[in-house]
Amino acid sequence: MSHIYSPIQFYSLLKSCMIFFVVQAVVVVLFFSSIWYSPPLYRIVMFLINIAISVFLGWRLYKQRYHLILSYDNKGFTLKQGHKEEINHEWSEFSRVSLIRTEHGDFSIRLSTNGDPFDLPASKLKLDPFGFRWEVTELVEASRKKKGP
Amino acid sequence: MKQISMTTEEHVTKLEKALMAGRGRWIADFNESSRNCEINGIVFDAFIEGNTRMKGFLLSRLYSFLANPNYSVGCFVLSTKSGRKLDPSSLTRVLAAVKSCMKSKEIKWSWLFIFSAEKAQSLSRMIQRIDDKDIGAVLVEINSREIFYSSSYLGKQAKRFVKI
Repeated sequence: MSHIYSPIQFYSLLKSCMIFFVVQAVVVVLFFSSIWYSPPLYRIVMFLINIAISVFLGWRLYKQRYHLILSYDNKGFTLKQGHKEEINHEWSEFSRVSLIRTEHGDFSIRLSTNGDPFDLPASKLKLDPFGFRWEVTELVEASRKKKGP
Repeated sequence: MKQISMTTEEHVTKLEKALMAGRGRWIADFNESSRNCEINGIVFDAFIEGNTRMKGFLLSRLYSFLANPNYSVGCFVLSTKSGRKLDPSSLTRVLAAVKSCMKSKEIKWSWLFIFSAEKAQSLSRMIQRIDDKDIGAVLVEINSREIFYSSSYLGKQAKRFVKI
């Protein structure tokens, strides 16, 4: 059975929107300073337009760069971040599963073999990291048993 | 997932969650945890790794860089699984496994937590006699809610990690 997780990461969305909001605010302050002498209603409308553009462009940026989609089944998983290339792995490629906490306080599931480890961002995907770790452990063990020594 | 007695498993999970959430920050930042981890033939219920140099933002990072030593630390957790009896001879093997892991992973300080559902008088006496300054050993008897710890500084302080 296949599972798909793609929750909205509000922090990343807010960050994307803020980037455009700040850029617009700087442009207005630097190049349209006459706005300070315009009527309050006009300023409020400009402010609302600024917010609307920030939300629109921020959403586009978020979907393009930050949005995570994890899909997995008994065989393996696929992780896609924004418009970057999909990352595919089979559970049997890994032998060790551990839970890690990043310096930002997010939890990830670390899958490793002898080579480089791969981290599944459990907190960003709004998964319970402790529960998901057991699920991944079972999938890795079952997959390795199926594959044989 | 290996099933063990609920109470013991709950205590192991509680300790793991607490350390991963930062309860050990007074001495180290624990940031990687493995469950049912086999080390030198001993299957530990949990093995949690960390470092005495904490990550943080600007000032706390700078303070940690200047004030804290850069030591890798480890926390080994064992419980009396169904059928597994911990006696003084098996404790010797466990300690040997811990020391060997410390050597291979260059871990400076370690804590060993043993959760036991039953009374273990001989084990508790042996735990109290451990005087290795780099290992803090703690025995938690869940039913009687008693905690025994080794005489080293790490052992005495380790009781701050567990709440029963």
